[in-house]
Amino acid sequence: MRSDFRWLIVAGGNFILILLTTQCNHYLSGFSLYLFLLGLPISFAGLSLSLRNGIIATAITGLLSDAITPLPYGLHFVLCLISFSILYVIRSRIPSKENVTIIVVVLLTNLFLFFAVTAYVYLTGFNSNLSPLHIVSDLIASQIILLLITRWFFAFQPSLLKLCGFNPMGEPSR
Amino acid sequence: MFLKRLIYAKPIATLGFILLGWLILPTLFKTLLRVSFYEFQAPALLAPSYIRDLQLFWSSRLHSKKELFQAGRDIARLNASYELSIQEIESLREEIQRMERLLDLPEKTKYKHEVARVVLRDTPAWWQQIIIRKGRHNGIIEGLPVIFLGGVVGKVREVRAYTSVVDLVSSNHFRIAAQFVGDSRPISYQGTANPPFSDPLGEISYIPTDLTLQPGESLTVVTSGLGGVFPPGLVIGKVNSLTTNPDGLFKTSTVVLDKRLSSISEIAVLIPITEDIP
Repeated sequence: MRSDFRWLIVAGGNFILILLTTQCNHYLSGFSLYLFLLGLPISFAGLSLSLRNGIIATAITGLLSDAITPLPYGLHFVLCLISFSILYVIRSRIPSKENVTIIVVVLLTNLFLFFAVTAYVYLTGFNSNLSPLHIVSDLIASQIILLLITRWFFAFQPSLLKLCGFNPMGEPSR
Repeated sequence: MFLKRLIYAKPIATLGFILLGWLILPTLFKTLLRVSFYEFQAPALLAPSYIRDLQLFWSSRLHSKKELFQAGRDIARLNASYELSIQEIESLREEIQRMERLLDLPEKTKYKHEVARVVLRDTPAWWQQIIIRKGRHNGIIEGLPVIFLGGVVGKVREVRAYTSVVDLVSSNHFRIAAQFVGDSRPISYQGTANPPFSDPLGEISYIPTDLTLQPGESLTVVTSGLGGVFPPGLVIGKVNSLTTNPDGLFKTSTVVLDKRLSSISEIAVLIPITEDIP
């Protein structure tokens, strides 16, 4: 029986997204803008993968994000896993094949992660001198970009799986 | 019904199990994991930086011979003026050393400049940091001061094999003893909240109340050299107004930092020269 390495392919796709985001942020720093798009890979895993593959891919994505931030190691890891678990539990009740639903789920997941990180940063005193304007502008910019790239990412990951010889539709739900 | 509920409970139970495992995981293992995941990403983070350099090289090759000739002439002029400046600096340095010997003053720390390209600028509202293309293998250690042609950039926070993470001067975590040009009394500088679409900002406190500023005037804030991390006289930023504290004991102000800090691409790490490091 062939081993199921979908988590590796999906984590690879997520890594590409993280790298693209860091490069965008590099150029946007001149405007003091920052894109936070972590909700997108987590939503894909939560809506499309099995529990085993989804959890491994999400954990790797969280740890990759954690490695380049000054926040305590494991914060993104924990938040991503919580988001994934919630999405996984409720996914049978949401029409996950419709584009509008996918976009709404991605936006809400990203909103949750963004506010969770902001709350952690503010409440733990990591940075209690936050600029509300900066927070709002970062959030708006991130949500707009998500609105534009969600469909691409949800087409990109299955293409990557197909390219590596996996049937993107053949993932068992439970 | 019970089986259906059990299926729903499986992801939550798995999450609980993973979170519990993460909580009891030893710190050493977490640190190893962090370093491993960082070093795994490092080549991918460095690659775009090298590609940008290559892009600059090839775009420079597209210039016409006339443009190159003009640029060479400009550089020759600059070189000549820098040669003169170097001579002046050398004579001033010798004079300072002579006076220090006369007054029997302790010797100042000397620094070696390790120039590095900026790999990544990471400036959300939550933190302000950059990743540079020099690390442990280049003699960089944690806590070293980082500067650029506009003055202070920040302080090295993390050092990896070939990269380092620098906390920017605009970061909330960056604190330093400073002073105004022409006034040797120490003041306290700290990075502050940075609004979007504006120059990076900082904050100074403990300004003596006798210092005043007329409308249209500005004061330059420089490093004081206290604390021993940064050498004295490095530019931090400019102050355009002063506000008296409610208690009336001191004044505070917002420091406008160099706008080039947001698009910084090259920096220098100051490595102290000791007996061991030639």
